[in-house]
Amino acid sequence: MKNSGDEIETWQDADTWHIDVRGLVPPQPMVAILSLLKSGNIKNRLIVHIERDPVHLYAELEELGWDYETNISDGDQYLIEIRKQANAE
Amino acid sequence: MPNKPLNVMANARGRLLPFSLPFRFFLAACFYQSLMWVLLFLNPDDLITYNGGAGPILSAVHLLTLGVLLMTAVGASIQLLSVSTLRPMRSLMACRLLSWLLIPGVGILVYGMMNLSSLALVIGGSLVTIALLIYALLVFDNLVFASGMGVITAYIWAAILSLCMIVALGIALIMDYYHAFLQDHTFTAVTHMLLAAYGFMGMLSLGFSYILIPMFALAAFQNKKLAHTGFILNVIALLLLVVDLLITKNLLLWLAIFSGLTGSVCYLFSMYQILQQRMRKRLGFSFRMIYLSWCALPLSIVAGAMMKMGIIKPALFGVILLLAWLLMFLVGILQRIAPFLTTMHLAQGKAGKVPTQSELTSELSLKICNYAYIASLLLLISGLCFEQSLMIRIGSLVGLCAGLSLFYFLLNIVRIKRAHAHSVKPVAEARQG
Repeated sequence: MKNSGDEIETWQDADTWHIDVRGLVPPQPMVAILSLLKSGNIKNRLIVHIERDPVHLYAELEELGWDYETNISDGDQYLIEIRKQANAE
Repeated sequence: MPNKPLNVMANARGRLLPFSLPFRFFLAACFYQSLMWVLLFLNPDDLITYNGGAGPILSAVHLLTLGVLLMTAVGASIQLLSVSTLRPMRSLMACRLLSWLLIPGVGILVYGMMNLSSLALVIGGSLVTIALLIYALLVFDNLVFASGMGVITAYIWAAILSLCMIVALGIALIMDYYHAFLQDHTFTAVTHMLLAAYGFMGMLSLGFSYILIPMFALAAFQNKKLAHTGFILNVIALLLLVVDLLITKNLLLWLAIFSGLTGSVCYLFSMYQILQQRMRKRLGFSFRMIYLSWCALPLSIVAGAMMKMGIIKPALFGVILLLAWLLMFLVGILQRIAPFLTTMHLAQGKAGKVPTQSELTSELSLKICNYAYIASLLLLISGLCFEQSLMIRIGSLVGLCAGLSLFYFLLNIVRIKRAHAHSVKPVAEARQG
């Protein structure tokens, strides 16, 4: 499933959601990611496609009870894997 | 899954300037601000009767505009722009050169204004002019291929164009002291001052608000039509003001005031809409300074009209415009942006937990700073209204406390940053064990 918004693209691949926030001016990527997490749609895992290391996102994720892992795919692209914390409901 | 921040040093690091670069501008701003309060403390009567011309008040005004406002804006913008546009500044050397020229240049120029020293005016003026041209080129180069920033870019272009005009008028004013070629020195000086306050600093502040306020409040900036309308009205107001001051003399002034007031209301309403939909509920103490400064923005335009009608003194208008609107806004922003940038630096390529923004914020110095600012502003305004030099002296002393508290606030961040940098290993080193 793939939903194309105005500028922000989200799609589902098996049990994993993806959000592509590349090309957005800060703080739009962070707002989009947090809005998606708060919407309740993400049951298991979210992969964020972004072209910068969202260092200010991590504290928000921890506060909301999400774990994360940041990796670089190719060149300047970052993939942030976000999962519900094991002890979170 | 344990939380793992970035595990490879990345290209994003290239977008971050060395930590010392923005911070040297911020610390210089604190130093010049303290000097400004000292000058006001020593010359309260000159402030009450000030109507233009060289001397301690002109020096104090330039300590504030060049030394504090410009210095803070340059330090913040060279870093913020590269992060926002995802384009690193073209030349790190040019950024360094900018600091080497601007920081001492302002001091020398202000000394020249204080003592009417032609040598100091020429050397200081040249250093500041070259520094500002480098800054304008750096910003131009960074923004020219940037996309998706809409009204932000528009405001920054307007600010850079104003900056070019301010520099040209500033050079003309300095030369006029010796060659007396300007037809109307006073009107040129007023145009220079208003272009600096509403044109360069004002446009830059309004433009960066559309990045910074959503960033600090975690909110989407959606009503772009309102933001663009505000921008157009503000630019029209500035153009009318300049044309009126230099050519038509009072014919277009009221249109400029009306357009500026409407533009500022559009801007404030955009900010209100952004804050209404914010995800971060607690914005912190520094936002109170930002709220107060926003009240002072339209008030400064009304004060300008009242000054024109002879109801209030020029110095009172200057205090509302420069201290209540611009300085309060920049201090509020600086209190948020300094920890924000530091967190970004600490997160890059280091293993270990990064201190949060609130851990980098010394709440006590922030509170002392902000309460002292508000008190000093009230004392200065009262001193000017009632022509009480003692009130201005006390206000200046309280202002000095505010400036020193801000200085401590920044030094504390530098201290924590250094301690953290020494306590954690770079990622590659941490991996090796």
